[in-house]
Amino acid sequence: MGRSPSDLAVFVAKRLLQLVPVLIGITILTFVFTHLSTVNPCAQWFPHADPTTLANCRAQFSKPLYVQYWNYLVNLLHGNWGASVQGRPVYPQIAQGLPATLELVLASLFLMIVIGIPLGVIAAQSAGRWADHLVRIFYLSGWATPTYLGAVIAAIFVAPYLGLPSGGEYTNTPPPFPQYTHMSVVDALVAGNLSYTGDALVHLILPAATLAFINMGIATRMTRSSMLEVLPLDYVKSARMKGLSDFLVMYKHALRNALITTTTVLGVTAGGLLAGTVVIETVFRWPGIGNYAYYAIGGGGNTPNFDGAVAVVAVFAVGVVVANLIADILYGVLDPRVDWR
Amino acid sequence: MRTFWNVLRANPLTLVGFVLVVLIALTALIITVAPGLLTPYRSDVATNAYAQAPSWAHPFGTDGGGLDIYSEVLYALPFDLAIAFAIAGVALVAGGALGLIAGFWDRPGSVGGAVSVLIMRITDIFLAFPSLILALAIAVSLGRGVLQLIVAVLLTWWPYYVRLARGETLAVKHLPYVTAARAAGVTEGRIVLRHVLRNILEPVIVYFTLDVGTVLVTLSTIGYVGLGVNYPITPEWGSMMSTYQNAGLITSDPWTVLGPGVAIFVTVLAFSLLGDGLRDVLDPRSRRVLAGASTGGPTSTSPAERKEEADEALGRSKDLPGAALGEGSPAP
Repeated sequence: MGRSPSDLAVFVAKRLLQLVPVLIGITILTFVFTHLSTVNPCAQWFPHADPTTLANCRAQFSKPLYVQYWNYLVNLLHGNWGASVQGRPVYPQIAQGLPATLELVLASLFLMIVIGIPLGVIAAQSAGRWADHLVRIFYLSGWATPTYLGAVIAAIFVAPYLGLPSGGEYTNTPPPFPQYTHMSVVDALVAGNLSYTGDALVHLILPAATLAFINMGIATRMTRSSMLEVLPLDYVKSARMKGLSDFLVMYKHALRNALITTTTVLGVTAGGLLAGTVVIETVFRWPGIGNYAYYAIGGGGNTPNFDGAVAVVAVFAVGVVVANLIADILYGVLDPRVDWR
Repeated sequence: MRTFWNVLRANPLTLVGFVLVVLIALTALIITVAPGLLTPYRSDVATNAYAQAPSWAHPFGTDGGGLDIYSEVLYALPFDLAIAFAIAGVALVAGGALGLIAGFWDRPGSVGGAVSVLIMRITDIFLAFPSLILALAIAVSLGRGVLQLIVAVLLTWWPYYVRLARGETLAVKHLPYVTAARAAGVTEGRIVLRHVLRNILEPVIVYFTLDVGTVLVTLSTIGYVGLGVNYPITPEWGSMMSTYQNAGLITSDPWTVLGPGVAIFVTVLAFSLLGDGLRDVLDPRSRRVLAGASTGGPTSTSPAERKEEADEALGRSKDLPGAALGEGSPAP
C-alpha cells in the first residue's frame, strides 16, 4: 500500500502543486469581477469622490486589461495592496484582522463539532423517531436563519438576557498587554492575564455560537448519514454479538467514522463559515476581516473601499482553498483506504 | 405520483414542509393578483400610524415611515420567492447542462475530455469563493436593482450545479442499462437525453428544493448589507431589515425585526424541511456527491452503495433481466 512517510510527502506535495493554478485562477476571477463588471466602475466604487481620486481611477481603468491585471498581480505579490479612499493601507488591516476571524471560525468549528456530531449520532440512533425529528428541526432552523437575523437576535435580544456582552473582543479595549497574535483569547493567555482571558472568552462565545448554530446542519446531517450507513454493517453487528455494550459499540467502532466526517465538514463548511463572518463580525463589532469586508464593499451605506474589497475577496477565497487542502490531507491520513501515491 | 406521497408520508416533517411550501406559494399568488384579500393596505402607502408596536390593526407593527410591516412583508413575498426561483432555476439549467457535458464526455485524450477538464477547472476556481462574498463584490460593481441582484448571485451559484450534475452523471453513465443501450445501437445524444438526464433529474430536483432556501438567504443577506434592490421601491425582506437598522429602529422599536425575520425564517424552513426530507430518500447518492469535489477527497463508494444505486436505477424490476436492455427507461 502506498502509505509510507515518503508517500505522504508526495501526497502533500501533489496537493500543494495543484494549489498554484487555483490561486492564479482566484486572482484572475477577483480581478475580473471587480474591474470588468460595470460600464463605469469608477462611479460605482468611488461615489462622492473628489476629482483627483476620480481622475486617478479613470487613468487606472483606461489602461489595457492585461496591463491592469499585471499591475494588480505584481502589487499583490509585493504586499502593496493599496489603500482606502481615506488613505488607510489595506495590507496591515487585513493582516491584523485575519487572526481575529480565524479565532472566531475555529471557535465556531469547535462548537459545531462538539455539539453537531453528537446530535447526529443521537439522530441516527433514534432514526425516524421523535429525537431524530427534534434534531432535524434544530439544525434546519439554524440553516433557515440568515446570518443577519441570527446575529441581530443574538446581539440585541439574547445577549442582555443571558448577561453576555453584545460586541467587541474585550470589555475594555485596548487591552493592557501587547497583542502579538491579534487573537483575543491567545493574546490574553500569552500575557498571563487570566481575567482578560475569561473576558475574551465571554466575548467570543456568543458570536461563535451564532455562527455555529447557523452552519451546524451540515455536520449533524453528515454524521447522521454516515452513522446510519455504518450501523447495520457486519463489523458493528459482530461487535454487538461479542457482547460489547451498545454504548461501546456506538462510540468505539461506529464513531471512528465521525473523525473522517469531521474533516469533510471542515472542507464543506469553510465557505459558509467565512461568509458568515461578514455579518457576524459587523453586528458583534468583532475586528476581523469579515468586518473589514462589510465596510470595504460599502455595507450600511458607507463609501466602498475598492482596494480593500479586491484584497479581501481574494483572501477569503484563499482561506477556503487552504481549509479544503487541510481537510483533504487530513482525510488522506485518516482514511486507511486512501493511497498516497 | 404514488411514490411521491409515500415519500411525504415517510417523515411527518417532510409533510409539514410540503404543506408550508404550498401555503407560501398560494399566499404569493394571492398577494399578486388580489392583495385586498390579505391586507387592507396597498404597497408603499403610508398609514397614519408611525412606529407603532404590533396591534390588531398592524400585526407586525409599523415602521418609521408609517408603513404597515405585515403588508410590506406580504408584498415582498412574491418578489423574494420569484428572484430566488429565477436564480436557482437558471443556475440549475446552465450549471446542470455543463455538468452533464463534463460528466458524460470526459474520456481522457478526447476533445470531450479536454472540454470536461476545462469546465471543471473553471468550476473549481469559482467554488473557491464563498458565494456571498463574491456576490457582494459583483453587486457593488453592478449597482443596485433587481436584475443586478439576480446576475450577481447567479454568477456565483451556477458552479454548484455543475459539480452536482457531473457527479450524478458519472454515477449513472456506467450502469448496465446505459452500456446495454449503447450496445443496442442507441445514439449518444439519445442516451444522454432519455437515460442519463432522466435519472439525474431526481437528485438534482431535490437539491434544487433545498437550494431555493439557500439562495433566498443569500440574496436577502445582500439586501441586508445595503446592496441589491432599493427597498422602498422594491420590497425585499433583507433590504427591509437594512432600512430599519439604518434608521436605528431595531434598537428603539425591536418589533421591527419580527416581520421580515419571521417571514424569511418560515419560508426557508419550509423549503428546507421539504428538501431535507426528500433527500433522505436518496441519501447515499447525495452524500457522496456532497463529499466529493473534483479536487476534493476521494469519494468513498462502498460496494453496498453502488449496488444500491444500481438497483434503484433499474427500477422496481431488478428481477427482470430483460428490463435492462433496449430503451426501457427505468425512471418511474
